[in-house]
Amino acid sequence: MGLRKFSHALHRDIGYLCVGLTLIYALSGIAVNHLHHWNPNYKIESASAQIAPSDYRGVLSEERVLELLRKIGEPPVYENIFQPDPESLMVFVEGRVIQFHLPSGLVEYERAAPRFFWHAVNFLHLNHPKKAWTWIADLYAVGLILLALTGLLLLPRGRMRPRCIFLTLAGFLIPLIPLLLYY
Amino acid sequence: MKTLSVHTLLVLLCISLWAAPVSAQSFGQGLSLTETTPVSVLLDDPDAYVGQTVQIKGLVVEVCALRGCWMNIAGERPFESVHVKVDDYDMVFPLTARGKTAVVEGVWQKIVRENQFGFARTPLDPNKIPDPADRSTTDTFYQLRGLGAVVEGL
Repeated sequence: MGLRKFSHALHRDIGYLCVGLTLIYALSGIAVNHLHHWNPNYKIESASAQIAPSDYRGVLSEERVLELLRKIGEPPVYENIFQPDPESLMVFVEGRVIQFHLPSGLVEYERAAPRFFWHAVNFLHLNHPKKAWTWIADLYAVGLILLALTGLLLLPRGRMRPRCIFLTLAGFLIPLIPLLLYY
Repeated sequence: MKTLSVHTLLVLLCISLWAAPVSAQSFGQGLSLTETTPVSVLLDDPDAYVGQTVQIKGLVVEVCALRGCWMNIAGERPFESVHVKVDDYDMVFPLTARGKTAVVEGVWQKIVRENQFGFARTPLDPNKIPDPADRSTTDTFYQLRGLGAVVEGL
């Protein structure tokens, strides 16, 4: 088997092998690039309510916490509480955070639910599992290098060749221009 | 006899599952220290611990919503918490950790930050913005540079 034929076979097989991983990395890459526009990992549901403002400042007793929960129609049970300052209260209950601001009477609810698909692809892309996934990701990177190099060896002969060489060079320039501008 | 031993095994399995500790998720290097330093002790004399690796335990009250790169751990005393910072994507604390108890290890750091406006964080209440003459040009705060953590109940 000649080098050209071998490159073609290698390019084809690695290409098929890399389809799934490429989609994962590419989709997650787009998601992570736009973290400032949306949160791909969690869907955050929030709501607010209003209760009567209170003049009380300081450590809230158990009775006061339960009274605040009653005022917003919540059952008088919670998992944990925290007061970041004498005017505020955070109540943690069943995956939700309820924040009370005593001087204004503003109550804010928040629940964070993982977005299953995006959470999973980001989990893999950003190598949260570590361990064996690190090796798989390294092998994938090696696969991409081979894909690029074997692709170069597949340059067609004839009239198409200059066009392909031009596109390859343009591909090298794409990262160079931002480096010159922003680096 | 065979049936009895299978039943016994099933009962033992059920007991072991019931008695198993609540699930906990480990982050980064996990935990290596055996002694926990109360947050109040750190905050009472923060300079004494700068550069030391310490372990703290407390309620997770806030988590970075986008990158999971920091969380705030409540102290034992009211109104006190400690900021735990990790490198982006080195560890990713889930938003669902809020309200859970975490044990965190890290290096206690003192951060002195220059600020252009005389205060690092603009107070939400306009009445609390200090007069220009009273403003400091640096902002000092302490944080734990997280090396490892375990969040219980995740």
